[in-house]
Amino acid sequence: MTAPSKPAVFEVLLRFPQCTSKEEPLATREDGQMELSCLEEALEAAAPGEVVGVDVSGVRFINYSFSDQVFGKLCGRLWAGEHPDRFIVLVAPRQDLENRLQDIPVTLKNRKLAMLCLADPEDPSTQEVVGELSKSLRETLRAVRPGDTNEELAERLDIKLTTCINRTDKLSRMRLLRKSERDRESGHRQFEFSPVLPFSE
Amino acid sequence: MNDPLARLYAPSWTLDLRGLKRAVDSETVSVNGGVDLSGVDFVTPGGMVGLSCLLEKWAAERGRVALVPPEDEVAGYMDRMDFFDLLGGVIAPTRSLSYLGGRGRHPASLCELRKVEDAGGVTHVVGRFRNILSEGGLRDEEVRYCCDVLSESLINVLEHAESPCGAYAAIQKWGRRNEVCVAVADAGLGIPRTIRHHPRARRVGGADHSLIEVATELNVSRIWEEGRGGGLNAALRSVGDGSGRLKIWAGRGWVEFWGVGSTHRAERVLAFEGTCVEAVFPLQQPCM
Repeated sequence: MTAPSKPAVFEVLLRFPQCTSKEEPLATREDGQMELSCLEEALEAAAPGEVVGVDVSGVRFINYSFSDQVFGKLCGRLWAGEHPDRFIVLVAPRQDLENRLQDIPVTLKNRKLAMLCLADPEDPSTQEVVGELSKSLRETLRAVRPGDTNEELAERLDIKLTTCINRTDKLSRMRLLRKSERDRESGHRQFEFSPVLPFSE
Repeated sequence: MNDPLARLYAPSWTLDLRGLKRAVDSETVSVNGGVDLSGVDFVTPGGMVGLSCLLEKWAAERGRVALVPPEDEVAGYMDRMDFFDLLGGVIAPTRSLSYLGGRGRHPASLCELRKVEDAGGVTHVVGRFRNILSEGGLRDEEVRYCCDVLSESLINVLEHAESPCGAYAAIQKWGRRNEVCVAVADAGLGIPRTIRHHPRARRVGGADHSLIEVATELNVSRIWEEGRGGGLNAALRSVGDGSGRLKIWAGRGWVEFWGVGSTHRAERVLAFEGTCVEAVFPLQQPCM
């Protein structure tokens, strides 16, 4: 496994693939399963709240089956609640995700899931969402400020509270949003939300 | 067939996927009569991989298959592709070919035929073909289109086809036409049988060509698991992106595609026990 490094916006940045030579075509579910295990190990090793970056920019060839076995399955497991309070972010230039690496977003769309992606690992303003995310969820994600509650966010977006709760629940299950419980001085549970990556205006 | 006059009047034909279909139809290629390639004047990946799988299947059923080789130029080319080595255990050529030694000349400048039996073989063959195509001067995206079709077709064979001989894969570049061709075949269940019980298959009826079309849709797979059923669709997407065309012959179905959602044609033909996939892409620039 390549030694992880620590860039500005992530706690850990992994070069992908970890177990396979990047010169080899990433073409089978068997090889994909090994890579999935490596990424899950990295998530387990991360502390709660930490972000693991996965730099796929050096990959020469990756097909649908391999992409699904790694990124489709991983996002499905995060959605199901595995690896709680850990986050994963892709690192790749946008044009690569539209061409050479296009099967990564395709497999996420096929599963109706999404991931955050940074074009520049040092610059959080280059982040975007890849995969399937509705327009309303994208708007909600963009509107979140650190420490927002559902009430505050609903007011800012001018939407019903229940609608806002549904949206933040989906976004946090996809690990596109951080969700934490506030102190319960008033006796009822209240959650607050923050962007996964450092906030930038 | 070795009489020069007989050869002069023998109809010549191309051993491509369509030519193989006609040859099976006319019993030039048959389980009982053996395989007569004496009239073959050109071979393509689809014809090579399809014929290889037929030979494997027939040999498993009835022992070695008699094979009349094509004339030396074409036989030499097939020898250079290792056809006679790979199939050495299942064919009985009607004349010795040892003198060829891969010396035959052929208009195709780049070619390769390989057998794949496990996942490691998929990675190896796709990597090898990728390097050959890259060194042959194809652009990166053209190489990627070919590798998408190759890799997803090979994975489908290993995961779904239950092919006793694994898969055969081949590539070829045609300098004159400035095209590249990739093909994969197996002697297994065939696409229609693998998805016949899928809910989406029921709505199209039982015709094999309809089942092949359904198999190219997203989320249609023999394995009912989230994320499955995207490989063939991805291959088809690459065919569309690369302005290519894709032919699939499986069971009694024959379907031609020009990318996802584009015009296609389906017809009922003689059965191929297994699946043959052949894709042809035009190249943007004349290359080495």
